[in-house]
Amino acid sequence: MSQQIDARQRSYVHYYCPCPDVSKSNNNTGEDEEEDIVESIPDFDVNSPRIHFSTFPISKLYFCDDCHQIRCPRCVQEEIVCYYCPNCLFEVPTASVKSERNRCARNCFQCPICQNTLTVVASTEPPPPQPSASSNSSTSTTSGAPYYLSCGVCRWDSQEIGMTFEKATGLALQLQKTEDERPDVKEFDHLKDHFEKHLRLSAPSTTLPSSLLSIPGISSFSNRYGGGGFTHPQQKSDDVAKYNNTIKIENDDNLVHDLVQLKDVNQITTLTQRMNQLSDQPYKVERLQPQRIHLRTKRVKRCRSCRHILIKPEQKAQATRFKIKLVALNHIPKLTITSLPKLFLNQSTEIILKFSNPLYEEIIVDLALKKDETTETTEYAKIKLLAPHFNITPYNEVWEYDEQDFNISSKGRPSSTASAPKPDIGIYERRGNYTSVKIEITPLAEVDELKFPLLVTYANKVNDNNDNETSGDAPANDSSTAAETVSSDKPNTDADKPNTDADKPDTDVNKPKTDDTDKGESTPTTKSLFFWTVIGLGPVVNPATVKPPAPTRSPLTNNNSNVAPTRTNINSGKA
Amino acid sequence: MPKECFAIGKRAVVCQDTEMKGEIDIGSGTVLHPQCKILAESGPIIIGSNNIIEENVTIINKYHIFSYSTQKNIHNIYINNYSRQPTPLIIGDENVFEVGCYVEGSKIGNKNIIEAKARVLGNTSLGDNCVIGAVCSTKKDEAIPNNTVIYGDHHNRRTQTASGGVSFNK
Repeated sequence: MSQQIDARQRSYVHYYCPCPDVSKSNNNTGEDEEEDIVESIPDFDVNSPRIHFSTFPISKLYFCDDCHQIRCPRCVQEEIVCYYCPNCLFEVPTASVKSERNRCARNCFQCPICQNTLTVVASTEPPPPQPSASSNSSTSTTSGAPYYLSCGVCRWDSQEIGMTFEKATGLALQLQKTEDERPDVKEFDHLKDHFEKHLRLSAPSTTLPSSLLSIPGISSFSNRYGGGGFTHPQQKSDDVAKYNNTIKIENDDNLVHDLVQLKDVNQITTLTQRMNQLSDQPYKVERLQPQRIHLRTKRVKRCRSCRHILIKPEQKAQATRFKIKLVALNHIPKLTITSLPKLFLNQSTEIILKFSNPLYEEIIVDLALKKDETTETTEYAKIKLLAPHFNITPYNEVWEYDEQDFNISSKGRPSSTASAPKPDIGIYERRGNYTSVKIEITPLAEVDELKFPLLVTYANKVNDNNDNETSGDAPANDSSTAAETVSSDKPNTDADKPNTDADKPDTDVNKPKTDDTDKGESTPTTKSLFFWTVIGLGPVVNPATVKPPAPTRSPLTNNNSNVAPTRTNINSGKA
Repeated sequence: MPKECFAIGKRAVVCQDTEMKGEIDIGSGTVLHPQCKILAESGPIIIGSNNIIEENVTIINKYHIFSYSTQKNIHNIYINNYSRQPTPLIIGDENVFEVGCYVEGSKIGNKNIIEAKARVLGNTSLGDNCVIGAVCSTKKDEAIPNNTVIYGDHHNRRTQTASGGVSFNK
């Protein structure tokens, strides 16, 4: 969770993936088990230390079409499709990955100083005496090797360490000889030979997929854990003959002496530079060598519980398309914090949360802080969802192009009229495929990070009546009238609000009622799904002039703060 | 107010839409692309031969504070005295100023490359064959020795081999 470390990115919406408890609730996907789902909602504690490992930003999540569940990077299985070099995009056959040490075996090197890609440059021999250039040219090309590597960023070039090449292609091959002669490489090869004998003896035929075989040591691993009955070969592999090293690398005693006398930071290698040259990790800059670029992989990702493929890239290294791409961004409502004023202690603030619908169907969203609760008072804050129940119109590509016409769309109307009494309480804005809602927050403690859980339950509306209605309602005139009616509704809802504020039981009674009406209408074809999110709002500030916390005054201030933003709303809507 | 006076050498190209102010001397073969600014505010700017100055480059000879003293005036109020000396900004030969870079400086040697959006600040002087990498900047008022390369997002420095400079002017 690197996002939480950075103070500027303190506000976030993270989605919870229940993957540790995956076995519990992956079966009830049918449409008739609405109640079951509600009952099976697991408890969710935002303050548990585990939360950091099971919540993710939506960009990292997948959505399994079959289980109807969010899948996080921890609950997908990966399989390697192909290995390729990120620089030359050459696809390396799986068989040769191991022998090429997982690096590009052609022309791609990274700079030992700044880790950027190096380019091959033909050395422009300075033509020594200008008049006799023609006679000299033949000797100069034959004497000095004409190609070297050069870094465009830090201007390092391989001539500095005396590395030049005869030809411009197959540089890695040309370096192979010198690389093979290095003592550490020799020693490793020797070591590998030594152990490979034992591995070959103890490894019977493996049944692993070929993509995994290139991983060093995997065959012995599968032998130990997969092949159950083989006790004899295992015993054999344990009594390995004693290894005698062939080469001794002496410690350079002068190194310490040299390091003591260092005066300039640039004379010593940085940690990244050393880590990029793992074999010898030199301290001296002169001993840094260009390294071949690491290969990358393309991977298939599968859902761990149903084995369906979530991500399948194109086989070719050049192609960036995906054959299958079930990312969460395209399947579940996206939450974004659009307005987050500074949070002051004991001061009620309204934040605005935007819900976007990526689906081509209208969805109905229910929010809750706990199971069926829209207000909650913890030791840190009092949180109130002003719009616990609302709908979002379907996604439509056209909206991405024209910004003006979809102000309170025509498709929003039928459902808003249908979803009975007060549809627009706490709704800040309704546009295109998103709806912004207000949440009222009163921080009660001074904390570095105020966060609260939010249970989002959403139901797809895929019933036919609704579709007919929307298609009939399409003309632009209607949409404008819809806009007017909604905006004229606003004062009413404002008038209602003090009531709902004053007696919460009343709202609690109201809420199930609206739920029922809606569900009654759309149960035949709805799929109801839910997920938990954690919404982080950043630090709570204690205002310098500490006001008396006077609880009696708070409803009054609440009212004021409620009225003011809605007024501005109406203005902005008209403008 | 310094006098307006341009001296432009042979084979030099000064495109339309360049903004030039003050006393400027441009050597032979130097190219000024459109939309670049040469502002000789406090002293003259002397540009050598075969430089390339690309679009949106600002080369400015700013007012530099050389001596600073505080005195009481007749009303017994402290005033600050800055003595401004018209020092020239001298740019050598075969430098490349890439798109959008900003150069204050007091002296720039030969064969330097100031990459795109790089900044040379204050009274900095550059030696020969230096590279100020893209979006990198120097500190204020430092003397950068020959063959220095400033690169990367941490403005790292290293010294390149003297022969390593690839000349882009050919």
